[in-house]
Amino acid sequence: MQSITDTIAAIATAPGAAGIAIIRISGPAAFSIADAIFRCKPPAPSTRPAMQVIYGHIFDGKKDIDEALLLPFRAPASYTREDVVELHVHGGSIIARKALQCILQKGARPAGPGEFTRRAFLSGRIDLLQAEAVMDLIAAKSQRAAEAAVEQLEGSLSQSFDAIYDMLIAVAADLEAQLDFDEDELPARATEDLMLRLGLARKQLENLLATWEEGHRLREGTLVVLAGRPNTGKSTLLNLLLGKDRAIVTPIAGTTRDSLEEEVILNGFPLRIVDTAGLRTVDCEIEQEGIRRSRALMQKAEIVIMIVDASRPLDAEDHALLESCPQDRTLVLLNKKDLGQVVTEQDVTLNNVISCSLLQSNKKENQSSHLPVSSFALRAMADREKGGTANTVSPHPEPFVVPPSGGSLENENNRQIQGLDACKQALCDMLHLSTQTESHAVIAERHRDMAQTTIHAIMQTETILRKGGESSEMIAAMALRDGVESLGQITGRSYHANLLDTIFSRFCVGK
Amino acid sequence: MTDKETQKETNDFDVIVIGGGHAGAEAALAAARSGVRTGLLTMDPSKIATMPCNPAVGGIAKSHLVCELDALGGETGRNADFTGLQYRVLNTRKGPAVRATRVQCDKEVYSQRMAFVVHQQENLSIISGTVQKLLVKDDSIYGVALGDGREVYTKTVVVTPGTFLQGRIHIGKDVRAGGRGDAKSADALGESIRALGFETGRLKTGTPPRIHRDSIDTREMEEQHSMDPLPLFSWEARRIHQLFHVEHQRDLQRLFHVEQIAPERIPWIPGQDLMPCFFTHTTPVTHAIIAENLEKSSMYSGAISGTGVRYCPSIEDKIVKFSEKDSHHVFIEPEGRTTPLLYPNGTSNSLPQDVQERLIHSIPGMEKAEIVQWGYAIEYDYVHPTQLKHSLETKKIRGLFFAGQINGTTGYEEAAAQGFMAGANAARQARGQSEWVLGRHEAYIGVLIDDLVTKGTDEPYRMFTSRAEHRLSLRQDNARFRLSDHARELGVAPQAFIDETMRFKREIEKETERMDKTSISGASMSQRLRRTETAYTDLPDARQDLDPVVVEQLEIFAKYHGYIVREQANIRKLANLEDQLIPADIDFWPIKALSYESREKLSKIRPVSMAQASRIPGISPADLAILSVAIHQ
Repeated sequence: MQSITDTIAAIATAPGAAGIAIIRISGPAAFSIADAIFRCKPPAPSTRPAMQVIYGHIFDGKKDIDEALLLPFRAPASYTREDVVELHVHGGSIIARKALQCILQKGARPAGPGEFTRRAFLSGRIDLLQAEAVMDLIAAKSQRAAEAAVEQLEGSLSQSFDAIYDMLIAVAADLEAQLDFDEDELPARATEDLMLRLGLARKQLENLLATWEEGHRLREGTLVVLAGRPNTGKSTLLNLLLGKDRAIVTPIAGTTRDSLEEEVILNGFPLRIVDTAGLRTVDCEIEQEGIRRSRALMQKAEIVIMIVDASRPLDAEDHALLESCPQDRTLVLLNKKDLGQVVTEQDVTLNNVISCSLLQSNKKENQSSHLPVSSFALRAMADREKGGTANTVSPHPEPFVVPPSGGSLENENNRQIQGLDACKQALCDMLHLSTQTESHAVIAERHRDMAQTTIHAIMQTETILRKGGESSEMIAAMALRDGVESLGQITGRSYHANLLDTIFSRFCVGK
Repeated sequence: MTDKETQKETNDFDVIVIGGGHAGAEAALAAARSGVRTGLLTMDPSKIATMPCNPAVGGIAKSHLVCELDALGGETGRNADFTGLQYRVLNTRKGPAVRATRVQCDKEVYSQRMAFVVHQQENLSIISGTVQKLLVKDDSIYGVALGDGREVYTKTVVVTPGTFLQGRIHIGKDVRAGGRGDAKSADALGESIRALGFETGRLKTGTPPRIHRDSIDTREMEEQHSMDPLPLFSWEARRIHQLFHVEHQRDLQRLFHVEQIAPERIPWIPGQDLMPCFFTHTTPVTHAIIAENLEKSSMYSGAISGTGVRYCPSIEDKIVKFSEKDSHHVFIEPEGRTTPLLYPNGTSNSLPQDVQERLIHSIPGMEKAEIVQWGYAIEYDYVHPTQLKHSLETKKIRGLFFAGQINGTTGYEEAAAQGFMAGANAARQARGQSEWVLGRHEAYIGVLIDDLVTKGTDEPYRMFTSRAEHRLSLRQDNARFRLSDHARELGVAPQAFIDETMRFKREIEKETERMDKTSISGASMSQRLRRTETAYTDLPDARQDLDPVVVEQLEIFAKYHGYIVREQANIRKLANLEDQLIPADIDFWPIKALSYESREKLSKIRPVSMAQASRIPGISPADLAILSVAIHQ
């Protein structure tokens, strides 16, 4: 068990080349450590007022390591509610690491993953929902995800849950009052009325639960699988969506043997696009394994983009492949229109079909509109903030890029792309990604489980009340209590205190 | 202490109980029946367990307390059963968990019988006097100083002053010092308690005017009679009732003690000389009278600062808070067979006398009612109960126990339950035995005391079934079974009763096992009994010799099998938290990660387990996480 009275330190910024790096120190010894390693004009940092930037040098005891700025925060007005010192040094991992080394030598401990936020939570500065939001914010893969996290941080999710909680507490109060007061004292409360209110609360909770899917997409990204027979243009589409060459593209069928995964932001939502091995019957064991994986991925995918070579007639294998596609999750692209389209949209029985001509794009033009995001970099950043792993994280190698023979970007500038926008639009439509930028709070995994428990309890309550009979109110109240308690765990409210207050504000009862 | 032996010899008593109300009587009886030398100190030995409020015992959730007391050896249930004039079951259609018994009692006889029991009790002396001061040395109590200068020495003291601490009676603008009706208040005792450093607050309760029986017209009202079969709280009364109904006259002699108070010693059996109650209601005229005169009420004129009972509100309160209702129930309860007084429940108020009169006259059937006693509100001091341990001993002074309204509760039943617990624990301490505590999963008494010492209260606390987490397991019908081990350990309840309970328990176990194993055309007897419409006697292979009490348990367990099993699983889950003990000597103040408020609360309440800590209002899951870290460091 980690002590909560020691001092922790970590590099708070991402590694790699950058203008500055920030080192954060938090804990009772933050200022004494700062005094020991930071050389500046008197007075020393520990005697200066909070929030005042100090110029000086990081000093390892013998010589200056770097010139730096020091920003002091004093408990409780800091992120962790402890004394916090931030050191801004020059970027580049070597200097920051040296500075951190000095700090650790003076008695600080390297922070564990997420420890700054954990301290903020333990100190009561932020509640559980907010702590989760901070983690999401750090890991946010897109603008929309960041907005959702900010919403949660500001408490709008708590408000939504609170409103449902209040509704359920009112129903529970009515039920409990039926049990705790004699028939003579109570107004007859129709079961239908209770059922109506329970149904309403359940509906609202279900709506909130539906945002989980969106939240999940924001956090995890939507899995989009590119599939099709060999050499139909899957890797070309991946490169086009990415706006850079990622997959090796050659005219040779079966070039892609393993699946490649990349992230693309579409309308503010991260997509995880997987390029798969072309589907065909082969003897090669490696390729067979690749094809097996392709089929497995198609099962898992939220969207399958099935690319068909439209310049030649569909054969039995094509038909079999199209039939194996999930109807509502498949987007069919009839590619190579420019080579003379012989397969038309009428030839395909699936709903979403687009004709197109996808060829390698102009890199610059696409980059401006769709910034590719390297998942490596994001994960590294997330790890970094989660605490002090900086000194152990080695810089990730750049993705492996091989210029395709006869198809390099420069050579393809003049060739036309048709249908890429239509393809993106179709993706948005199929995923219901709204084009509006209005953000709202979404729920996370933990909330989903508890909300589901609550929905289950409400449904049980409804069933028991519908059935009626001896003890039905008591057993319904028992089921509802479980539901309300699990909902209260999300926002930290207590069943009993709220229940009695509600009963007495709603009923006029004597002894 | 070297003078321990000397002190033991100079002690007049092991336990002194101050106050002879419902808490005091149970405390004194529990202590004396435990076998220690007990003294009951009261201002007026003729007034034991009087009923200053309504003449009923039991009701929803309160009857659970009474049944639990009976299972442990308390007197309240028996006393109500043997002095009742109307017996009813409440919540008949809502299932066994919330079913409740209520007995309307003959007030005078109730008090007389309890006084008789107390006076008859071995090891128990009644001392008449007023307490001037509690005698404390080195944070331990050693006696009490009386108003006449006497000092009584004892190992432990149970204080049960009811509404007498700084009691102030309000009628309209008139205020006078008083503990109840015409009795004096106990201001010196209150000062002595405050001088010891206990934090106190102020509460308020009230009572309606009393009406003369001959002055009302019951034809305008709805009559309510006793139920048949007669519902009873106590094992003793049920046994006697049964004996007489099957005409076992041979036990007649032994039954004489039942009718201890009648001039000629003939047995009195519950169910004789029953009386009805009546329903009537307030009218728009009543509401208008109150609304016009609201500023004359002590409650609303600002004369009273104490917090009132939300669930037993005064009529002024009802009309202000529920202005949309144009009628409220008024329940007319006879106060006894020989007294002409009626208690119009629902009209409690602190209005001036002329307004009270007009108010009463506006109620159907009471147009010509003669008011014999005026309604009044009473304000009194209570001690914040978070200063107590679960044994009801104060944390501050060793050997000093508080029970009843002084701890912020309302109701005879709540008071009696605490009195029993405090009396039993005081006796145990005097004998050098460990604390004795009931868990929330074992009894409503456990819920009551844990709520008080953990959460405290800022309004008069009354028991509700919704306060209990494990309602289905804490029924009044199974009180004797769930508390049998405790009853045996205490040794206060009659041995014959405990023996019978143990025998029934074995029969229940044996028959449950047989029913699980015996299969009739594909379904076990247990499975068959789970069907709603099947009674035990409907089963093809049912035993004919089982006691109805055993059959009742078998049936309830079968009908609610799934729910009871689930609740028991919850109890076991919670037991983990209960088992995570917080060291008694822990200092919360250096745990800086806890907010100041949390540290203050924890330091004050000093929870014994993580489970208790989790029930303290304002202690968050984050606090618990920090606490858990701090404990395991």
